[in-house]
Amino acid sequence: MTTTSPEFSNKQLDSAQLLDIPQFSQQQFQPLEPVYWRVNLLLRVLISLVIIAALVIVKYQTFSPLESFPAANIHWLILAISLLLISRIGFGYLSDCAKGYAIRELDISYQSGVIFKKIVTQPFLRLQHIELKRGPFERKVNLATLQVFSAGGAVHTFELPGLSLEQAQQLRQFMLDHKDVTQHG
Amino acid sequence: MDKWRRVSPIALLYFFFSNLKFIVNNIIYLVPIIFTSYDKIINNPWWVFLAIFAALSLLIISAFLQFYFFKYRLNEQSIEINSGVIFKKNLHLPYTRIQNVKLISPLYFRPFGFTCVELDTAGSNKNEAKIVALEVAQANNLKQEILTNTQPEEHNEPSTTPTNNEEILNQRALKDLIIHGVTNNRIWIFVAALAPMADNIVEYMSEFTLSIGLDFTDLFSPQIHAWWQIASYALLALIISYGIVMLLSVFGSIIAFYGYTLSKHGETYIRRSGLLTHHEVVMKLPRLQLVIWQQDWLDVLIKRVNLKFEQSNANLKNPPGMDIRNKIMVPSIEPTQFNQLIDDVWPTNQLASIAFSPISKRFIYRHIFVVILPLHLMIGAFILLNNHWQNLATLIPTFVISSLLIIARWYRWGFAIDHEFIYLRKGLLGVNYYTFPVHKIQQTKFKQSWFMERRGLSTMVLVLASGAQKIPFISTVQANKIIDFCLYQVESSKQNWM
Repeated sequence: MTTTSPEFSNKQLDSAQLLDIPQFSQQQFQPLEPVYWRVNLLLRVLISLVIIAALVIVKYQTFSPLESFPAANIHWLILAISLLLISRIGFGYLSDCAKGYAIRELDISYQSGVIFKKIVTQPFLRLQHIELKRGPFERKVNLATLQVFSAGGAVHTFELPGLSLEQAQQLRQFMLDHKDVTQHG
Repeated sequence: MDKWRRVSPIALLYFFFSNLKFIVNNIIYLVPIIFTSYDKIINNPWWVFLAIFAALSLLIISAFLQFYFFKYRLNEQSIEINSGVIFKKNLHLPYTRIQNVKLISPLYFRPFGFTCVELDTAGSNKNEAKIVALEVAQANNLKQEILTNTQPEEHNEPSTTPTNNEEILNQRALKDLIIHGVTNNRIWIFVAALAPMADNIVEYMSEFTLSIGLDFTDLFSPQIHAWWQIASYALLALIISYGIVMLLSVFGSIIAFYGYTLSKHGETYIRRSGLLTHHEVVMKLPRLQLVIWQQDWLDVLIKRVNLKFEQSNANLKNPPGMDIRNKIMVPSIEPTQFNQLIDDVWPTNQLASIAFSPISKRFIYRHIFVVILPLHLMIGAFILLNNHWQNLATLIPTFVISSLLIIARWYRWGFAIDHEFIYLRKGLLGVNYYTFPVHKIQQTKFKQSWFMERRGLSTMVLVLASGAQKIPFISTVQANKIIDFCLYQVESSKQNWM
């Protein structure tokens, strides 16, 4: 009986490795601009405070006193809603931190989700048009949301939030100048 | 780079009217308020006047702001449009992606000689770019300017009368249409055709049932009849109404598909049918995104199949039930005919012979333990809280049946892939097969919950121009491999999707 020489190896090969196809899951995802989660956090805290303040006002106001059952139980409602809002703030922070994007030569990917992880990949070849969308708060802190539309329809628009305006503009120009967009109609 | 240009101030009219249209379309939500506070409104005409005045000035101000922020310019490779007052939008549309330039003149533009320029992309219909309010001459110049930059495709639609060059691929006889009406619910076509007369029919029907001595409240009253009598009446009523629905569905099928022919002229497929109005649907082969084998449970029993050729769904907006008239669908054919047709459009497909892989059994556990069980526990708790404990037993059959349906759903799920096509199988009691070329994929999505990650499972979604196709609960290794392969095919072949 011969023993196998140490160099000998015959492990099973993955067909993707064999073809040397790039792997989308092996990309290094870049986080979004830190100001994105900070602004979101601030907004969530403010909105929560407004909601709780409104409920507290309802409890203590004297213009139209509550009936006996709501009056006796409203503090429970306030407590429950506060807990919900606090967990929403915490969860929102975590999900903002989990968002990230990665660009390859021929496509762009967006990763999101804490418990439900999702990676969307959009080849530049299938791009139809691009939009930069900026709400009032985004403009305040120089952020932009990049939207890439494909023929997949409005529901499947590739959307990448939390980019700085310059980053978003550069990225857009990169895509518009891409030869998959300019040459393949 | 071009300078930013503003459109003509006549655009104020456009914004004013489109906002007004939006308000009028949504005014239905105000109806209950107006209805309940009718007295107050009548007594305070001043408030009404004030409200209308406020709404009008809001409309005028917003029209002005929208006009002020609406700018466009032509770049080397794309057209750029800025719009939005609070939410700013900056749109870039590459010339290579423009399919068609349309000039649309609303009624209020015509006296002034202005028009809107609509730039159609092949993709989404909702998000097309629109330059509002240009002079007609200017618009035509712009159209020329844009069209010289694009590679416009030829718009030679085939002739609408059958020519000798056409090869007939399939025809449906009346018998097939009756089978189709029985196995598939086409009642909506019938209802839609009768809609103008609907009220009269219902009135007539109730008069008719009373005249032959049927009184439903009497019939189903537990004071008069024993439970088994009521049960048998109910069963009878069910059978009769099912029979009526089926009959109407057969009429619907005949209305929609009478004289059905599917023919082919070069790369163009033409479907002609219809009893009252003659419908013709034309599809060019490159536009075909997805071929569907559709079988409801009755179809499975009698071995008939509906074939659907799906194109981009962007420009189709139809009420439910009516969309089948505007799609290429071949009703109730035999499996061999299906295979001939799919081989005609995509000769290299292997749908008939390829082996399907199942999805993970965790699909069943997930749906039973995360959806069905909690739902039943909730209802059970509710029943107990209201002291109806004797009704608890009814939850057992619903739990068993819904669990069995989940298992049936799992059993139907399957997928297969070769070097060119992806094949999906799904269904519940019936079975559908979806076949599409890998290179037509628009976008890929990889999804995984934390629980699935621990089991090495994931869900993938492949977005086509005709909609998204999902494969749930497959091994992550496999999902990664398939997504990588799809992206590789799309990006390396550079083939067009239409």
